[in-house]
Amino acid sequence: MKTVYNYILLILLISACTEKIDIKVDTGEARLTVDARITSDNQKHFVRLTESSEVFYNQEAKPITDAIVSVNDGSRTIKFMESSPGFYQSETEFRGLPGKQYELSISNVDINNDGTDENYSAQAQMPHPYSVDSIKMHYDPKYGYGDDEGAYWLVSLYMKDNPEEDNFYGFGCRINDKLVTDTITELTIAEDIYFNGETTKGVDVAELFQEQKDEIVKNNDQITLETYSINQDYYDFLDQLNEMEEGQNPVFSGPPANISTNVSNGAVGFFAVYSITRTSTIVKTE
Amino acid sequence: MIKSIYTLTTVFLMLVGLQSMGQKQSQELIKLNKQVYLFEKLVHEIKKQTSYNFTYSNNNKLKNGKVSIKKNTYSLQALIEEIANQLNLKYRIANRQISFKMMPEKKVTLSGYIRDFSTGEDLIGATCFLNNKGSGTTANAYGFYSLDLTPGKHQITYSFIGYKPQIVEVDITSDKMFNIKLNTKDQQLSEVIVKGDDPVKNIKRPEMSTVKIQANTVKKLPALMGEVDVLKTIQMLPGVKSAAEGSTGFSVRGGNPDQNLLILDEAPVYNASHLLGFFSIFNNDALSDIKLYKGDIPASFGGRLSSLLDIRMKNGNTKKVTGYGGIGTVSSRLTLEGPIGKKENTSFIVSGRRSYADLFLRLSSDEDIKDNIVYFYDLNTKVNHRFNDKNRLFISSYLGKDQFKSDDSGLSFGNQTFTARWNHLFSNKLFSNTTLLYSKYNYELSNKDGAEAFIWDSELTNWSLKLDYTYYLNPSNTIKFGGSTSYLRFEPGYARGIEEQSFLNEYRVPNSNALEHALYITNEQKLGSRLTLKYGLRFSMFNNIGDGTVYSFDENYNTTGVTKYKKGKIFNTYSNFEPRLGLNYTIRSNSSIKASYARTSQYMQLTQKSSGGMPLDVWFPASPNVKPQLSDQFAIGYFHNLKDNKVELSVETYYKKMKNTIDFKDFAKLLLNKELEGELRFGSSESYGVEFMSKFNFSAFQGWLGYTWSRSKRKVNGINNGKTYRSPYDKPHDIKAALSYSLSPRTTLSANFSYTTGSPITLPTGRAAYQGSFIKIYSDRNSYRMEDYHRLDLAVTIKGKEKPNRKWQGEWNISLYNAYGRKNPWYITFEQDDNNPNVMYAEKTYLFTYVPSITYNFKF
Repeated sequence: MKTVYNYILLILLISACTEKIDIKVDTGEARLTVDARITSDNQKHFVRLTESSEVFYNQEAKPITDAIVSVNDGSRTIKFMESSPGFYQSETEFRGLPGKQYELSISNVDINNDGTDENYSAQAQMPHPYSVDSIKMHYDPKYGYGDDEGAYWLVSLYMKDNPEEDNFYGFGCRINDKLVTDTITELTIAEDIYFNGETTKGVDVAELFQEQKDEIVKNNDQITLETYSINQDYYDFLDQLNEMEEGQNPVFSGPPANISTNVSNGAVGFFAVYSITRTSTIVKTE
Repeated sequence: MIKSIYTLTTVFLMLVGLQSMGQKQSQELIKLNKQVYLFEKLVHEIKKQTSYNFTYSNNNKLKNGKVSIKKNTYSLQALIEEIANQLNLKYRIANRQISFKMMPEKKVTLSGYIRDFSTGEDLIGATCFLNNKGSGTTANAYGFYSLDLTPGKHQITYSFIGYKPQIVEVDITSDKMFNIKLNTKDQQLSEVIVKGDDPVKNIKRPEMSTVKIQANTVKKLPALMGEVDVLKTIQMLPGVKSAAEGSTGFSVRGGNPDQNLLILDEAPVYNASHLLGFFSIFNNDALSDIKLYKGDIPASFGGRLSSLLDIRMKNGNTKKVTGYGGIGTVSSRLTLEGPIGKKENTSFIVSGRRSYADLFLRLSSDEDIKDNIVYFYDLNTKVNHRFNDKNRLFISSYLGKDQFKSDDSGLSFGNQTFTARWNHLFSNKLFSNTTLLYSKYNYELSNKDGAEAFIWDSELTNWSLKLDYTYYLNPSNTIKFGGSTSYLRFEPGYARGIEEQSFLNEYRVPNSNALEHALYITNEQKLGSRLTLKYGLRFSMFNNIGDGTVYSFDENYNTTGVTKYKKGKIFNTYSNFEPRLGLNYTIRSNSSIKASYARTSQYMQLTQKSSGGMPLDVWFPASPNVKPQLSDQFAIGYFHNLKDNKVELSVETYYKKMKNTIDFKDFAKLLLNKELEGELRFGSSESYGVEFMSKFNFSAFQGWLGYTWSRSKRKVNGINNGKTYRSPYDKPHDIKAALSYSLSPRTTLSANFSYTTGSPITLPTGRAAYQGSFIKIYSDRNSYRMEDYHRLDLAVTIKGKEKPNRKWQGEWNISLYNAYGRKNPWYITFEQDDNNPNVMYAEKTYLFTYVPSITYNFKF
């Protein structure tokens, strides 16, 4: 699709302009927003609960406090305690185990202020981690499109996709242990539908834009690729989130719609359960 | 049995007896001493001389009929025979009683072709009209007309919009072939004034919801970047809406763009767009005649729900070789046409167009832009040969392509059509046309760079055979019948990694094959002088044939299985009866009421998710999972002409109900998806509206002004929680004007204006924070609207001075698109502020404010 975007951009370059506009939209009812993650890392996992707002609300989302949050892994229940408003941390450190089903429960929340508390839940299974053979860094002085065009350091991936199953991938990146893909839409995602069972032959899976402050790569920096093994539901969620970013363009997109969630009872967000494979390399820029 | 034999014998004997009696009676003699007798006087004379009695109808025409005869003596038999012969009577002599009966009038057929005087082009829809009878006919798509007349002298007017009418006196005694050539108005020939009713006017035609546009009209109107475009012009008509800003895609009476059948010399065109749809593939220079049916689609056509756009290419000048072309801001054009050989029987036209935006790109200092190639071209060619007045062959083709290339990626797409048609006259009443056609749309997308190198292509091909007959039974009945059969092959997508470097494997969306057949018959019947009926029936049939792959789905659209069918096996069939009815009641000579009903069916559709569409969209057929779409449209209208038919007013109202409407689920994946059918959702839709149209056809002032009020809604399972929602083309108020005014013979001003209610849009009504980004919470589908759309375009055309000894004629066209720079939103996005991630703002993207252009057109 890159080619098509390229083509369209080229044509529109001549004629398209943008302008900020005032537009009046109604405000829908407030909904519970769940950002919950359990990974294969041995750590205190966290859940963030906020309230959805009107579109033009210009502050940090309102936290949902005093909720009762827990995760059950089939044999035990792990309690999550509020560490700061809206942030709930697991009481103990633990590691998510591949193949295990996790269930998130949230209660003591009254998002619609009707005096009755609602209960929310979500289930997800942790997929098995991928094994990555190696990564390589290479530099491209001219990469990207439009505003994001410029010099990039790119991370190439070498591994083999499992031909027996449908696989879903997410990729994040750290420079000297600092996560640079800190916004969800910065992740690269892929499903193996078009490369099932293939070796990846150094396909670029992470892009470090050298004009963006937190992505600048220096000599001898350690670059770590995080390969996430995600399940199909979470892949669809991320894919839809990316598509939603593009808006309703009369050339490619149909009417936008609400993206999927695995949380019950009208909540938005996702209970993501995934395993992480980390692969590091040292960059030589000289 | 015995009884009937007896009766027959008696009758036979009686007849023989009469005969012998007649011979005996003929011995009586009558002496005449005048050369001309009125019938009544002559009968009186015979009575006097023979004492025979006479009976005949009390009819003035008969009584005053003149019999010319030499002064002589005649036998009774011979004289009676002579009278009967001259006055076209039947007679009987029995028991000294002679009776005369008027025979039904004998008819002869006048037929032929109506053509342009200077180029020999067929004039489609030209009329011939009997001045004393008030009846007439129109020439068909090949310029052929057929008219039944009583033998004798007639005055016939031949006319056509933009041409000088010609009045011809014919004295016709038997069937006759008569070809006529009409002159365009701007050629200075002696003025002919036509009186009486001209059937060309919209009042008398028993068809409604149709608009005919001459390629010349299209040329006069302002155009985006000076690129005149028939698909943009028809968007200026009431009832037709642009699918998206600047797009050649259009919606007719609330339908989808893929519900319009676009045919170029009978061949369907599957994707009529160049450069993202900003321009269409129809090079105006190669076209002669364009007709849009917004409803009331003739029974001879089918396969699409909403409309038929019938585009005919020029045949080529049969008199002399001429050329014309133009140099514009986007493209240049060159057309050559002329006769082959000296007999005016064969002619050709070749018309080409190529864009050259890439030539400018090459001049750019920006390396990225410089290396890109982007262009499109079109090539129309046509040859026609007249073997004799009964046989004519047309061969036409279109070839066009869009090409985009950067250093590592490429996209090309285009159409190819080929049509061979053979006109044959079985008699002067039975016209036939046999068409063999081929049409293809394909694209190829590729990327040569790195591990993601791939090629992806897609193709749709159609082979069809059509037989169409027109039988001019009598002046009151014209019967059309025929049939067609098509083979369609869908290759929706085949992608594979290229070379060793690529990590992508092969992915092929299964190909599918289909047959589409139709049979139709329709009659246009005049009942008295005021009422004309049109009634017909089309029977359509669709077969899915192997090789084919069909996925089955459960109620949640998850794939449950796959069935493969062998080559040639018909594994699924749909058929539909499609009645088409029309009525025209003439109230006065300048006003009429028309009504119509049409059922249409559609067996293939486009994976068009966005309103405007893109080149990668593919057509997919009806199948065991996808039922054919059906539409029933009712329309009624009032038509009124003023100022000697120079102003045509009409109001039409319609209601359309569509079944098996297809829409796509949220976040549908329509391309390169084997299980595409699982992304479809089905429901119904309806649209209704009122269209007001006023058309001006003065010599200096021409064009139209229209207003439409319309609605279009859908209800589809699995979309918008099953609730009714607005179709993307639901824009209730719509004002359109396309006008041109000749300041002087050399200077013409023209303007387009359009105003439409903003397009329906889905907007976020909430947001939820998720890992540094926002999840938008959306309203019901299409429950908001963009701001209203309006735009004015202006153009001036200045012709060079004509000099008698110079063949070269030039013309400048200067146009300004969006003259007051309205920033009509193309789309609206909600962006997160880079500096403050908690702030969101709405942003509109708009195209084309103040786009000036200059085009030089020439003729030689």
